[in-house]
Amino acid sequence: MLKVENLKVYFKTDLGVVKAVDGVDLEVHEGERFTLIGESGSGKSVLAISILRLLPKNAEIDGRIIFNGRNLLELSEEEMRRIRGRKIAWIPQSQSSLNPVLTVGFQSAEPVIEHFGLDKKSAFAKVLRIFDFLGIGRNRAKDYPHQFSGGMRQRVLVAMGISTSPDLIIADEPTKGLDATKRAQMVELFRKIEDKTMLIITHDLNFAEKLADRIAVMYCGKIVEVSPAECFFNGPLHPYSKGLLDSLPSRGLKPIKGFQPSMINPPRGCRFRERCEFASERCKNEPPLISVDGRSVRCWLYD
Amino acid sequence: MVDLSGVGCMIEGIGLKKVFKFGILSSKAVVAVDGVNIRVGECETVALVGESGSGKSTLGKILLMLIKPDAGRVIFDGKDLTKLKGRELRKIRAEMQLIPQHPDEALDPRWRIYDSIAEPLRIHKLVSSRTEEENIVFELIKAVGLKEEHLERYPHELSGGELQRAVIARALALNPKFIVCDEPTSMLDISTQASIVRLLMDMQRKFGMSYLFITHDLELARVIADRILVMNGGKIVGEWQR
Repeated sequence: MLKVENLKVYFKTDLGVVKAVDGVDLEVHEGERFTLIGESGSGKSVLAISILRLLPKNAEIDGRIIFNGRNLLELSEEEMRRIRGRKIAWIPQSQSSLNPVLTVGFQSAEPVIEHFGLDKKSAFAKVLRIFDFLGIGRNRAKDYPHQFSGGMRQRVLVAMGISTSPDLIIADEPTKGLDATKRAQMVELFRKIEDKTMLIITHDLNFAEKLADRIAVMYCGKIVEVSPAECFFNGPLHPYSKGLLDSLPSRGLKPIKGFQPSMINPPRGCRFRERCEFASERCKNEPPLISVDGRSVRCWLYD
Repeated sequence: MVDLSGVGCMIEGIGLKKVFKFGILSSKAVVAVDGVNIRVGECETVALVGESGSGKSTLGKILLMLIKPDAGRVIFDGKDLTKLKGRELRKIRAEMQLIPQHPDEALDPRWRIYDSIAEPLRIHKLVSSRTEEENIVFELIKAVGLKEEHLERYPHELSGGELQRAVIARALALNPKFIVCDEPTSMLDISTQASIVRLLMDMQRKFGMSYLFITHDLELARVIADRILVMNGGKIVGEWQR
């Protein structure tokens, strides 16, 4: 359904060129929940935004993003407008993503009116059905965003995302800023819409574990591992994936030594080399993505 | 209640209550903390867990006397803090610190990190010369794992994890006996969380202070705490002991 090939996104800044996404290949299959995990600054959000072509002006983008057989990077802005929201929906982080002066019902109906040409009344009726389905309650459609709690606001954003029945949903850190019980509710919510193809971006590993079909790990602008979720949590391949899992409180709370390198001058060869306990002479050369039992990993250990 | 015999009590809250009233014409009220008794022993880490809105942060701030309770007493060092005023209270404040949730909001954006860390030393007049101040600040940042180059930077030039280290350094500057950590890692990445929590645990081993660790992450609470208190609707509704 979605295929990203050798995608590069560079930002020109005063300090130099920030290589936020540096040669990413990935494939999201129809009907699966593909989850991209990584720390802040690893480039995962930039990757998602570039699929919708909503990058700021100082970004340079290169590669191919094939969606339903068409390369999104070659489409005109007008064609792209018909895809955004209609074919590919974006569920942003809850912080300030809603318009404070419009009722949530109206905001959720807007994409339906825009893309299907429905009149206000039938669009609103559609939204009420979705509100009921997601447990927001139709009686709250006339309320304003500030009258909602963080968890409820996130639900409204999900409602808005699915209102146009898109082919692909991209959710950016849907559990950010929510407490433990609200996170559990968010898992339930995403399970409700499980027939959808989803690209979920998160650094909440517990959330990823409960939802994902496949996991991709991003580090410093590169995908370092792609595995089925179950295999990933039982036995991660890449040393960085291991480090991430070991830093969970339930798995020993062991931090990864060192810091994430700068994206302006990333180390040559393997980018995790300086923090890796298995690093050797070979790691000075960039490892390829190596296939292991249907999983792939960017590490010389598996060569 | 828990048997604390043999362990000295660091801070105790008795019958604490706080009601927030708002609205001018209509008088709405929210009972944030509703008759809570709480004790934190010496060198003890007590985790306070609960949903957002359950009153955990308010309780933490009451213990630090950053919010004045409507009823109840806070006993610290044998003194009832609710009775203290002005200068006396300020003196006690040097011994208790807060590590807040948003490190970026806790530091003045127009100050270099150095000045933020040195500020408590200046306020409490603990240093007599610039060299003495520098020595203490350098020692502090070494303890929390920052480098000297960070001191000359401004908050926006540091990552979330580095900022939280700077905030911890500032909190440690006065050798406090009691620290309220108000969700110190909830805005941080998972591996950064691990390193910050490890740092807090190391500092406790080294300096022997007590923590009230507010979090909504039960897994984290179970790993770090000697005791866990569960808060809901302004009351403590459950307790778990290691």
